[in-house]
Amino acid sequence: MYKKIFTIIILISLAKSFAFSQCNQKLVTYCTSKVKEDATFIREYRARLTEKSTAEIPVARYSVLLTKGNTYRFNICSALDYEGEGVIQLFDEDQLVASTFHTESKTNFEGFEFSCNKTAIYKMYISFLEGKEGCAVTVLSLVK
Amino acid sequence: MNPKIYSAVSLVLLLFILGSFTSCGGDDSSKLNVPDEIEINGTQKIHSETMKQLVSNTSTPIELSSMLKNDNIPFSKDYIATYGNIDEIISPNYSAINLGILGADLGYLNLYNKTSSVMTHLSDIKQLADNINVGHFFDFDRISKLAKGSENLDSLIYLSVSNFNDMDDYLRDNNKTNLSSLMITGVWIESTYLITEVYKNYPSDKLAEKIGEQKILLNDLVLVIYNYKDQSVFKELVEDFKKLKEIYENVEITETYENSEPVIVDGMMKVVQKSKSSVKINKRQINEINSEIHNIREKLIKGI
Repeated sequence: MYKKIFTIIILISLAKSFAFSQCNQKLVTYCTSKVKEDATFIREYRARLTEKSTAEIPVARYSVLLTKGNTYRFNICSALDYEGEGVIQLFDEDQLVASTFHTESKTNFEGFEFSCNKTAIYKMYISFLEGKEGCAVTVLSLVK
Repeated sequence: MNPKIYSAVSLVLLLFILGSFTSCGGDDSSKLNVPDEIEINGTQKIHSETMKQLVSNTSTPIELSSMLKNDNIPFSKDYIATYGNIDEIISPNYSAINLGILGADLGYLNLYNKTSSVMTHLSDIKQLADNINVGHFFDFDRISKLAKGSENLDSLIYLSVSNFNDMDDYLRDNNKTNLSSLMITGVWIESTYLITEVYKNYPSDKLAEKIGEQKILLNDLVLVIYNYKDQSVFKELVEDFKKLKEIYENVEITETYENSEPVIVDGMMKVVQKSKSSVKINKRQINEINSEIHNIREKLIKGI
């Protein structure tokens, strides 16, 4: 009985360790390896944010130049040893144009594809749900 | 299974798991030796955090080259920068901007799978990167191997782009945003040169629009360059870009805004943007842009 419980604990821990729980280069490597064959890697962006006691949710901000006629894929990988689940928001000036968080279904997806029809410098914000402490890598790729 | 063997195997597994949870004290890059700081002279007027916000995706050459290849525009080595003697470029500022130029060319060469030309470029890139103490981010051996292999194109592109991104990140994070901005400027100059040169032989409305769109990043670059106007290379660029900006003043970019709704397709969220942009540019303007860019580029490659 105890042998079985011990085996299960070992197996679960083993599986978890392979899910790249750590906030380090391994998370970057893991996330960039998820770029599929139908896309070309462009850039990776990292965010490591701590929970704040204020109402304002901490955000990492980046500027990205997106070009008309291209379809871009944004993917986010969150480190499992932090509570925060990563969210990407893409803004055109102050207008939200895309996000991993789907408001209707209240689901946070692992990424989104953005078919760009307006060449501009967009603002990309990375944050964590409910402002929890988190570590994530966002990978931007160009769909072929 | 023998209980003793079972316990031994479990212990080994447990030790392995505990090892994988142990913090390595930061990411792998922290194990690299941090080189000496390069002195920055001149007053910085734009806040350093704002400087870091400068567009960081220097892979525009990948996107442009990808477009050219998809449109069956043939490769030409005439578009690639050639250096008489790369050893003559030693100053950090000239090294940084030429690193950007070569980085853009590397993207073009990789996309078109011109591996023999890639090898020459790699040595030059390594040398310039060493000049500004970011050579250790450039995995010369692995990229060379991938370039010789030719079947690992995706890996080659990934590693090339990734290394340049790492160099750029390091410069921004270590108070060397002047060098980062020069690298990006070099990429922009070479990318704009590429598409204006291609346009001479293969004119199209699509390419004309891409040339016109370069105005968007130029506006940001001009602000950044002006910020360091007391430094060499920046001083000359301020004047050169003034002329370029004058030409681009008459290039019209119009935008319309419309809300876009995401759809979920096969578990993936997709957004097709309804907002649009369009460019009004004529052949005379394109020729003037090409001429100015050509002059700027020639001076930079010669280290003047």
